[in-house]
Amino acid sequence: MKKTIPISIAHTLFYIEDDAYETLQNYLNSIRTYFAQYPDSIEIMQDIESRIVEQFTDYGHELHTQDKIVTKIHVDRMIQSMGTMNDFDGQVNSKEKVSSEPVTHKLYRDTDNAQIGGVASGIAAYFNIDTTIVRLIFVLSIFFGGTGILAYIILWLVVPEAKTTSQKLEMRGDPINIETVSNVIKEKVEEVRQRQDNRNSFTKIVQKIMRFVASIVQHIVPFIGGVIGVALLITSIISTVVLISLLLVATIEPYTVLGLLPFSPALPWMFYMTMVIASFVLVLSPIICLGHLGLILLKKQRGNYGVLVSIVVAWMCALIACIVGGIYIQQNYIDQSLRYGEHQITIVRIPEVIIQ
Amino acid sequence: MTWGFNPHSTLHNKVLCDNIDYMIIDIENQKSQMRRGLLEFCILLIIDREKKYATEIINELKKSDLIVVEGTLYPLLSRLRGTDLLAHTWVESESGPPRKYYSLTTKGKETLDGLKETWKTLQKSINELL
Repeated sequence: MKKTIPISIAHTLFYIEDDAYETLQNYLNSIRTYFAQYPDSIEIMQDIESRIVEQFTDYGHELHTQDKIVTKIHVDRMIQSMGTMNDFDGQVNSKEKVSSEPVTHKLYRDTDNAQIGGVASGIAAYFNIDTTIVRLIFVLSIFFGGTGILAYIILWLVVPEAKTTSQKLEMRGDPINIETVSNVIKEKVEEVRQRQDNRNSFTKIVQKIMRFVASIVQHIVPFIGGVIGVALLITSIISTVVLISLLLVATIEPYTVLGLLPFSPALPWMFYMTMVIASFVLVLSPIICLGHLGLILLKKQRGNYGVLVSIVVAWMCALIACIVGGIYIQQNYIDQSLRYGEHQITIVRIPEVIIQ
Repeated sequence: MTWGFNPHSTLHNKVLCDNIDYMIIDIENQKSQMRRGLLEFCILLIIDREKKYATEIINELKKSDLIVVEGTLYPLLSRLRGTDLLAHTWVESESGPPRKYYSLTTKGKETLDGLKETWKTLQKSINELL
């Protein structure tokens, strides 16, 4: 007598005996891991599951067992005809696998081989050189102004630790596949066995201090970011309000903002307005950018690319308008500007006379 | 010091390993590589005749000793689908889940014609050498 478990493969119900269930589950897990490297692994697994259903149904008829009950014999036969990971390895193109999963190479801290924080061993793994050389460079740099210590501390705080197996493979620049993953696991077991308190107490103390500092930094950085964000946001909002009210004044009562603008309201109305708006956009765009940056810092979200691009485009347009308008004014309204110049000079002269 | 034993620590080691891997390739492996190279061609030939679903393709390949384990077929089909050489339609089946019937796309037919030409030339040159 055996216990049976109801399972659904490719939307088909089977009753499977519990020993067969275990074998089947292990098999499916192993080939799922294997095919995970392929771009459409889900579809491959669906196809394979459909095929398994067909086989189980066929075997049921052949072995004269009651239909829809799957035994260990069924599963073993199915595995034999479908093949295991080892069978695939010889047959499936290995180059294809590598190209479907591009090798990523990232800088991590290699804490497995660490003496202090794993920075040196991480760099060594990244550049594929011996860790001792990197350590030597760090130590030597102490005698040249101690830059190495500062660099080490910064890297320790900034560079993430390679925690998962895939991160460890990325650190070395190895492709992620069954072989490399199992290699890493083997090494890890080996290292744990070999190390057993290889580190001295000094290292442990330094490590503890650094962890403490890192945790403080991790808490403080978002706080400072938030404060700067709020400050930026408030500044930009105030500036925007001031500028917009100035714009309104310049539109309705042009002569009240006479000294603030580098051109006079005596210009033709349309030209004057174009210049006013262009120069406001020119000043306003960077302020809005700063406000956006503040918002990013505050909400810890990524910036809206579209907003930034349109601001930059608007700013460029305004800049071109200002330059073209400025040259035009220079060439055509020189008389007027000269006259204003004289007025100013006379105003300055009057107090001089009074003092004398 | 444990890091000295890391087999990945130097580029030199890696190159050395690759070379050894290359040397270990035995005759069996060469045979299977040859078979693998032809397998896609054979799949295209089988589907070219009429619409087929995976089991039918497997049976034909097994009949002509081209395939050892069935699992090998699926990644190949996936690759052919991905490169737009194959298209499929779903057909309901009485005895199990719906079946995926494959047919060649225009691109697939063109590729197959190209492969047929290559095969003829290859066959000729190899027969001359034999």
